[in-house]
Amino acid sequence: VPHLFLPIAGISVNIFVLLGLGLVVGFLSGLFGVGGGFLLTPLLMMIHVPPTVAAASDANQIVAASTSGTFAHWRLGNVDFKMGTILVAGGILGGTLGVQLIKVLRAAGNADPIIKITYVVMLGLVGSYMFQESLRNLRPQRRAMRIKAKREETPWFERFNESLPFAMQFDKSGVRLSIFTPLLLGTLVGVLAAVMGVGGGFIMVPVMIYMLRMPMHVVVGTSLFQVLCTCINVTFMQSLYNHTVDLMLALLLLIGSTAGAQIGAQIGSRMKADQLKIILASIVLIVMMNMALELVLPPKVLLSVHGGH
Amino acid sequence: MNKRVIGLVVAALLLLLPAGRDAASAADPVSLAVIPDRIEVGTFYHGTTVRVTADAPRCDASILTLESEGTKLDLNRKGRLGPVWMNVARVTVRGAPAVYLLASSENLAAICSPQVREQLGLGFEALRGKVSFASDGPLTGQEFDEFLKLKMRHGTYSEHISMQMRPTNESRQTITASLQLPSVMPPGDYRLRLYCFEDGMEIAGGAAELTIEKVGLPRLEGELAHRHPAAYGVLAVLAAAAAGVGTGILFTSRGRGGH
Repeated sequence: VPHLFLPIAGISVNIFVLLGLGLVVGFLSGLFGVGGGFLLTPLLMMIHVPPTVAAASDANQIVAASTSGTFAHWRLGNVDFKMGTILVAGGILGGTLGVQLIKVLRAAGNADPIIKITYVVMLGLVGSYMFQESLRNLRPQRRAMRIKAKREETPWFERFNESLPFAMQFDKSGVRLSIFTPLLLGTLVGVLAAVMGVGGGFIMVPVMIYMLRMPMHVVVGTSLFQVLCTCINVTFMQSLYNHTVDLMLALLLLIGSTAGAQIGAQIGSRMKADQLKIILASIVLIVMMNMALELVLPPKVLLSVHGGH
Repeated sequence: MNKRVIGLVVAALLLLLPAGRDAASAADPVSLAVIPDRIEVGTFYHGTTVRVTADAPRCDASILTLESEGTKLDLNRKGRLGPVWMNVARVTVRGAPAVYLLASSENLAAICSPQVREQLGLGFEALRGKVSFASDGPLTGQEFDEFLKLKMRHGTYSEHISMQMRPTNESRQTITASLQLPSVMPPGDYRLRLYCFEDGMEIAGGAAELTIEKVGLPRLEGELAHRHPAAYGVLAVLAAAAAGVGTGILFTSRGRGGH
């Protein structure tokens, strides 16, 4: 079986394993508009790639997958660049705040537990909510009633949005919002993304669906655009300061992931929004349960190389 | 006069000859051949096997070690924090070689005493005394065992009974061993040492060097990443973006995308 030596990771890995991982994660990326970092980084760590190299190289390959995905969705007319740009601006602001927060937590010695628990809680909340809601919507007899009820209710978030100044029309998404709403949400996601060390796509997607009320097909394309911008920044910063981006690893992953992203985008455009959401929710919940088990089960070795999770 | 000289020469020869193989001492010559003694880590490197052959005095048992210089290593220690397992302390390891591979002709305990092994630094137990641990939290006493587990999982520490000894004449023998080097072994210089034992004591030994170095693409990428990180970062982003756009064009030109 052909193996490839990864110069920065310092290990040798089966080429087909990397191609396969890239294909699966790219497929999910194109299907749901998530970067896939929350899934690929733990998978790379499972094949003995050092955690810091896994996270940084993962961001590099996400640049390829999300470029491919954004390109496909742009061709389908599914990217709201106006909304995406504001979310990115908020994300950069939030990311900067998040990095400072991590510094403070590390100094206090509490960073690791908070990061891991935040991960499990966020994945659990997002996954459970999406799963329940999609399951309810898939039942036809209740769907009509829910849609009617939704139209009648005015959630607190909408009232909050209406109270903010500088309302702006987002034609592609078909919504009218204050510029501060996506900026604020982008900042919050940026903080979480920095604390959790991920691109934030899996948080951004539910935020766009449930808070910004954007249509699902535009959510996926716009989220990919936001993930692309975030990961370009992360790749460059990791290369510059930590020297942890393994281009060889990223290139092999992206061969699989770019193809997977295209297939995912094509299949996604033919599926119902609730079907997409329920599959994503299931994956999020599986990852969450895996992480929760890792947290409570005694580890096989009590020592690990510093720099990992 | 001549009789006295002849007598002295005969006496000297008798002193040098007693009991054949018992005459061997730690000063006995051991020639050690390592094939290959220079390992090139190229694009398709997947670890390798090093074959060691030695021409040595006849003895009961032999041990071969391959190790690197002792270094400082920072580790995280996991502990229970409420219901969850977390990194609770930083542990700094000093004096432990990054790599320690040992092959022997039989069980270490059957070859020599723990005191001899400790004196010569042979085996994991002998390392225990050489390695020190410091932590920003309290030490548990289990650090060395956990450190050993970690290194063995990575394949950088191992002990195997895999040496073969074949007599070539009354006083000499050929000793052979194969060491499996994992791909995670960092580039650098490594020292191989062969020890020959008779009745629990070292009677002969030899040493050789082994070099591991990156070549070709891995070397180029490593140097670019560390010496020109900004250029490397831009290259990484552009390569990924180009691959993404290229695949996008490829797929859409096949008529599967777009309105």
